[in-house]
Amino acid sequence: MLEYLGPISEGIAATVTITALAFVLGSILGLPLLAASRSPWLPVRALARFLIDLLRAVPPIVWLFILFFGLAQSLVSLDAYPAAVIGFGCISAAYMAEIYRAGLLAVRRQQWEAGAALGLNRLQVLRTIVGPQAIRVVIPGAATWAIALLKETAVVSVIGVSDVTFLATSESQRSGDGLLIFLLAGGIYILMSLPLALVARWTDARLHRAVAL
Amino acid sequence: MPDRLVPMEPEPDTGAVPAGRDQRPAGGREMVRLEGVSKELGGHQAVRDVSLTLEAGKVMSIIGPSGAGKSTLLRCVNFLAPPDSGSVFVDGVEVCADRRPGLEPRASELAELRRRVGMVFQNFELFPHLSVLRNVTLAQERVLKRDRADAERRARELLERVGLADKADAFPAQCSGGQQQRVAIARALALDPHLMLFDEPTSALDPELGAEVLSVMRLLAEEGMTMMIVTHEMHFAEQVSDSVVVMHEGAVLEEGPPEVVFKRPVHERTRRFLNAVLDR
Ligand SMILES: Nc1ncnc2c1ncn2[C@@H]1O[C@H](COP(=O)(O)OP(=O)(O)OP(=O)(O)O)[C@@H](O)[C@H]1O
Ligand SMILES: [Mg+2]
Repeated sequence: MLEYLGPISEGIAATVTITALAFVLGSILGLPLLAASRSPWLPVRALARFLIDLLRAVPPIVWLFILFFGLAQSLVSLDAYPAAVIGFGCISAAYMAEIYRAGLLAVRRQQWEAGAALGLNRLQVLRTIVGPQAIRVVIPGAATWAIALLKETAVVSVIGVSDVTFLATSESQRSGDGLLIFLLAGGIYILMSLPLALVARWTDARLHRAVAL
Repeated sequence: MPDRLVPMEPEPDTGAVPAGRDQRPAGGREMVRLEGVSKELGGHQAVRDVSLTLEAGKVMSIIGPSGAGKSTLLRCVNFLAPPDSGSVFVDGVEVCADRRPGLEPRASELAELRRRVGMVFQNFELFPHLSVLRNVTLAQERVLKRDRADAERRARELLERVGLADKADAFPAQCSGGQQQRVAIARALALDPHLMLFDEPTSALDPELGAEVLSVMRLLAEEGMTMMIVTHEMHFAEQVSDSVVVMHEGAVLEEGPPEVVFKRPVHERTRRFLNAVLDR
């Protein structure tokens, strides 16, 4: 068993870093995307909504093929690893924009008014009043997405990134012991997502206690 | 320890006793003037061409049936609900309403207006993620640029005066409704407003808890704060106000001193409304 575990676990680095980079990229890009989707200017709003829906509607594997085999090979040369990060980063941005939006909507409209009545401008209200309350809803949603993302990244193996799934596939082809190898790979995915789930539970409980709406 | 909610105005003091309703000098300075204020909400004319004035230090109660536009009118005063037309003048600042893109009041005008006006909501609207003390200091620091120590000093003074010195470190959820509303009053007063707006401040409270809030408001009135109060507490309105405005279908139906409006209303509609609320 250990003879398989060694080679497969070499893929952990790729799986974890692609997940982490895509998540960070998405968390950042999700903000302007959210702002655009709430823009008072209709064309901007429509374009942002279209992007958000499009990114989520098309399966990640299709985006990866478009990026890696389509764009990358014709326009710029893009390696499999950065293609994976960019692809999943953009998909994450769409999901995060929706998660941020749900967070904002969870805060009573009257909290904006209470802030405005005190003379705070919109950015100040967002930073000091609405944002901190929205986080309570954003964190569990973001953690759920991060765990989903971790599993979704398995498709990067099809464009040749040496992640856990890619190495498990080649190891099973080499040895023929597919069942055991993929059970091991499954166990590795569970172990990787466990800390995420724990962090989500813990911060959620803490925030609930602090905010107690 | 100051024993006032409102910083002393540089006007002649009548001594240790706070100036009561009756001792107030007549013919004071104009504090609020609404001219032709109208506001449509969802295809419904919520406020129709309302013009009102209120002198400094006076208390105006706004009464009327549900849906009459009382809340909307109050929200027009500080542009939480920007009027479609008309103008709002508060303490030397005049903002003309215009909803046309590009012609709307500038953010700086609104900031000037809101700096003079404090508002208390029916459902308190404290910030649930912040302690009581932080609720009262936040805007002092961000809007008035007071430093943390000054803001906390002022906040503790005000909390003491509304009877909540021991709640400074509690969170809103740990306070009763009456306590939360008194914190909300302290939060608004911390910015030294010249006009206070109250939208049914006791409607969400049991009578007992409402009484705590009303006594703080009475204190404020005695100290000479200019106030516009939307209320269903007719007894309080009668005792505390200098003028009573009756609204109906977005317009002012009747306005006058409480003795007149409550005892000898001119309009049949006012009489019916008062009968309905007083003879329950
Ligand atoms: N966001 C909105 N969209 C559409 N109509 C609204 C909106 N807000 C208020 N209205 C309508 O405007 C009218 C005035 O409402 P407003 O809340 O000012 O009345 P009110 O006198 O404060 O009533 P209440 O005593 O029930 O608080 C009502 O008919 C109400 O239905
Ligand atoms: Mg109302």
